[in-house]
Amino acid sequence: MNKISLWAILLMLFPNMARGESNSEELLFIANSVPQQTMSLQSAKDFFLGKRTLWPNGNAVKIVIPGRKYPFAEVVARSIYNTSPNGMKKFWLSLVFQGRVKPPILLKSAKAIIEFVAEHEGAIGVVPANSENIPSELILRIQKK
Amino acid sequence: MSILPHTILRSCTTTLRHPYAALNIKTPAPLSTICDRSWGRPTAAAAPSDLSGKRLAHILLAPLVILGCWLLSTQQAEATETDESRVQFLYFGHLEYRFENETTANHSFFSLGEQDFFVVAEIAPQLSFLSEIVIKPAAQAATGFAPSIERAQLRYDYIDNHSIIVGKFHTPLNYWNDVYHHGRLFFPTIDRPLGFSSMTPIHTLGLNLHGQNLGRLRFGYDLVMGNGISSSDTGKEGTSMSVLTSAHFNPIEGSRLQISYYRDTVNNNLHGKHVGHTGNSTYQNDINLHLFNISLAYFGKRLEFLNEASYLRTYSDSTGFETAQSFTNYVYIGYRLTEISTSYAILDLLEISEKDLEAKPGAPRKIGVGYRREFSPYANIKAQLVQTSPIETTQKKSRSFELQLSYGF
Repeated sequence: MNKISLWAILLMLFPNMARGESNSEELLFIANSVPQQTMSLQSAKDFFLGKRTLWPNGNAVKIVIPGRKYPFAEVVARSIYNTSPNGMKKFWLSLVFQGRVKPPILLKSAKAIIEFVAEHEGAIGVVPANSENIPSELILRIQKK
Repeated sequence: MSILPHTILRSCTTTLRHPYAALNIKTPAPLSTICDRSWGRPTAAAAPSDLSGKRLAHILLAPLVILGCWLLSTQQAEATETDESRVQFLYFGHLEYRFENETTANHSFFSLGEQDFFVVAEIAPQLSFLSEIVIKPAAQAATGFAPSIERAQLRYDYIDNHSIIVGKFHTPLNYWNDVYHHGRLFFPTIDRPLGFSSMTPIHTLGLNLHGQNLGRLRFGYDLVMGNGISSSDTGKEGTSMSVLTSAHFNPIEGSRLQISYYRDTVNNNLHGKHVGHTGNSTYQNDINLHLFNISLAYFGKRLEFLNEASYLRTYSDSTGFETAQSFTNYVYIGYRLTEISTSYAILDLLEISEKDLEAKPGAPRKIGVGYRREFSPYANIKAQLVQTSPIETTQKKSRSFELQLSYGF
């Protein structure tokens, strides 16, 4: 078996090896009363992947993501979870069943997500980058590489 | 702590008024629109089924697929409650069909599996509650089913990703018990590994110091002290406690390497109900037990792999008995054909030593191939062809064709 065939098989089995960072420019991360208003893209994603339960200031993390009726769920599933909206739902159902995380809050519009985050300390959400009427103090700044 | 009864009472009131809303279930959509999508595409009936034949599989699959269609139509609604305390009710369960080909006779039957009522509640910003009450098959019960409290745990997140869990929980001994346990919806195959039937202490009632996703390697740990194998949910004799130390790493996304050690003294060789398996009743004195486990899991976009290896060492302080060494190894390899369908193979080996006083000696083996198809995140069907060598060496091998519909919503 030559090297090219070997690489082809490896890429088929481990497609993540060939995949770079997904385009997350269409996402805007928002959070309320958190100690770090600037973070890396991966750190922001980690919250949505259930990898953080508390903020450094002790506030519980409340994750807010688009629900089934909000087409933006497709973008979030692809950019953060690297899967489809169904895959994202399965991911959360499994994590909640394991008892590892609290269930996320699913909301059906950018307006609802922004309002929820604004009203709850420790809440972190994601909305389309072109969303309007977002209080500036909620916007998380994502560090460029 | 007084918030909990109030929260449950309020949820029950909501359930009575708006049953679909409280269960987070949408009113079912018209069945026909859903069914068209499933019937027009190949289903698990196309999986290997040379034992039962195409026609038999087709007839028997029909009720399962109809139920699958109905389940497909029940989809989770977006949470609309924005109150500080949140309660979520979930339901998990499964149905099975088996055709067993044994030396003396064949068997063909449907069976109703465990039905799991799952509740998770946020009762304070850093305090949450999780309960799992399962109605499951019980041969001694008049109806064939009996209720069981499988989990009832309070979790306090005290700093970063560290928490304290008290109550009854799944012993975080290996990947399968920690991640799947009752959740047939999440099982990659139809059954648990053979080690669950005679080696793995599946529940612990006690205290767990837990950490997860720490550092670059996503390190996690569990330090558990509990009542142990000989206890019941209401208490135990003696003062000895079981101890578990477990560490796991997630070096790459979708992977997990776990190493654990479990230590217990089984009082009078008694096995409580919640341990999940019966013991070797011929010996009735205390037994010292050491169980080591290594789990390696990788669930990627295409390839899925899980290996669970355990080594059990038991001995009695009484004279005249030797130390017994037993082991088990379970291998699962799956390949995702599409996002919703996966083919897989399993090899499961268990060897309980003839000298073992705690578990029933024997060396069952299981080898099989299967196919899994997801209808939605909330339902899937698995078809599996398996050859099993029983624990009794005098019995012959058996072959079976199994179908399982599992759901959770």
